[in-house]
Amino acid sequence: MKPGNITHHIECSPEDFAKTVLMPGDPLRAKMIAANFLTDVDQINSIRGMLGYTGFYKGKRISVLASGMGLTSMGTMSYELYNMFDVETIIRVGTAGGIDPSLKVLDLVIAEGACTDSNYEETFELPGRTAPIATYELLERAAGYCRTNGIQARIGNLLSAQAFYVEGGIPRQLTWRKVGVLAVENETAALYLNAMRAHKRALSICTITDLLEKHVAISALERQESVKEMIRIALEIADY
Amino acid sequence: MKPGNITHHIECSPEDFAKTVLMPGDPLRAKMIATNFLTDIDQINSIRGMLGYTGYYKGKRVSVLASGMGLTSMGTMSYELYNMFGVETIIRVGTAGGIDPALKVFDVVIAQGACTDSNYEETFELPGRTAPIATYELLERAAKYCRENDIHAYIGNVLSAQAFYIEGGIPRQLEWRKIGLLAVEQETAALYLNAMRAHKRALSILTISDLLETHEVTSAWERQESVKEMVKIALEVADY
Repeated sequence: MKPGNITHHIECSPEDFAKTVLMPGDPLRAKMIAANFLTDVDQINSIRGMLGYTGFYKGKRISVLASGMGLTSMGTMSYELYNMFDVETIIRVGTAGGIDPSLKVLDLVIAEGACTDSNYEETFELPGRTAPIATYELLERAAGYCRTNGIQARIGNLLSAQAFYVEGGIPRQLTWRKVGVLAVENETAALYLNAMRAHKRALSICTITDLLEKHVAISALERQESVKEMIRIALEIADY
Repeated sequence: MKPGNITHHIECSPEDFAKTVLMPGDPLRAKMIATNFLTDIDQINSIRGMLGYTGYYKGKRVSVLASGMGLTSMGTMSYELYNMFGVETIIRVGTAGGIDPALKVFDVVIAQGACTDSNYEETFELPGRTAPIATYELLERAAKYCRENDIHAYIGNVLSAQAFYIEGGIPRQLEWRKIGLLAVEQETAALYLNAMRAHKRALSILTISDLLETHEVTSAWERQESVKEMVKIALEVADY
């Protein structure tokens, strides 16, 4: 930790962040978002390769920071943003594997809630189990934006799995079809729980990049275009 | 069970129900809803005092059926409606105790999700824990109706507690403030889990009838008037 660093993971000051931060899992996608969508960009973080940037989108200040993979990584980075860097809103822009049989690759999913096979909330010491949910206002804004712009988006539960490779493999994850879970990824539940605990705001939007039950090949370009559409939704609905 | 009864709890046929059923906890409230809001009413159930009615609201057919108190009772009745009586949509109209310090008696709460201290979903045998959530389309419809009609509604998580009187009492339930939980009642998680499992639709709308921390309560008449406002929301957002 550098002298003057507030935390082990982020090497800037609270004022270097905008009030809204987009969080992709992949640092290279953070870089791509900054380079393709923002102007007057400053790089504000590079610790552990978790690239972070602040710039402007249509005149409004916004930041992008990689979350890394998994509940622990997203938990760490989002916790710091909410509790140490004074961020108000985090919008995850990620990728997910389709569980619902009607989903197609490149479809968009907006997480109203997140199931998880982790016990991430255990340290909250609540007398029961929480439903990790999105901030309604952001959820409605995203749904409305998609409708207005003819973007087909499914809204429902994601599964935030604590392991990418699980004993029981794909059949085990497909069990979640029983309760209509749309897709699986590894971050949203931690983001939502942290937001709820900090009384802050969060939304998670994901692009389906593969289907669990059958392999569908898509080109890197197709994936990139659908990711861009998702990022645009996040940027348009964000407060600044 | 009478000969000819489909189930132990409901003594009519699937066609006696509309596709949308309002479910208050209290059978006397089911009766009040039918007599105050519907025309051409038929009483369709009276087993165990779980009064049920079908009638018309603004020309559209709708049913009302009491759920009874608690996850088990709501679980039983809603399961039968979804899986044996061809019902598509259930809207719970209930009362709740305020946990969020901003809430006042008579405020309306719409449950985006439901936390619970029960293990109701255990028999689903899912490899993790679900987030019991509302059907987004109904949630959005209710939120918009409230906005358009100047009804201040809070949208977020409620707690479906498995006991009304618990060891640890009110202080234990107030711990849920840690994650911004709005109010406590005893039915919504079971309704949402059943709806998700049956791939059907559900929403829970609640009126705050008391506040946990201040013990403020409402008179029977005041409670009745605010319940009427909530029932109106449910009838207006329902499909038929």
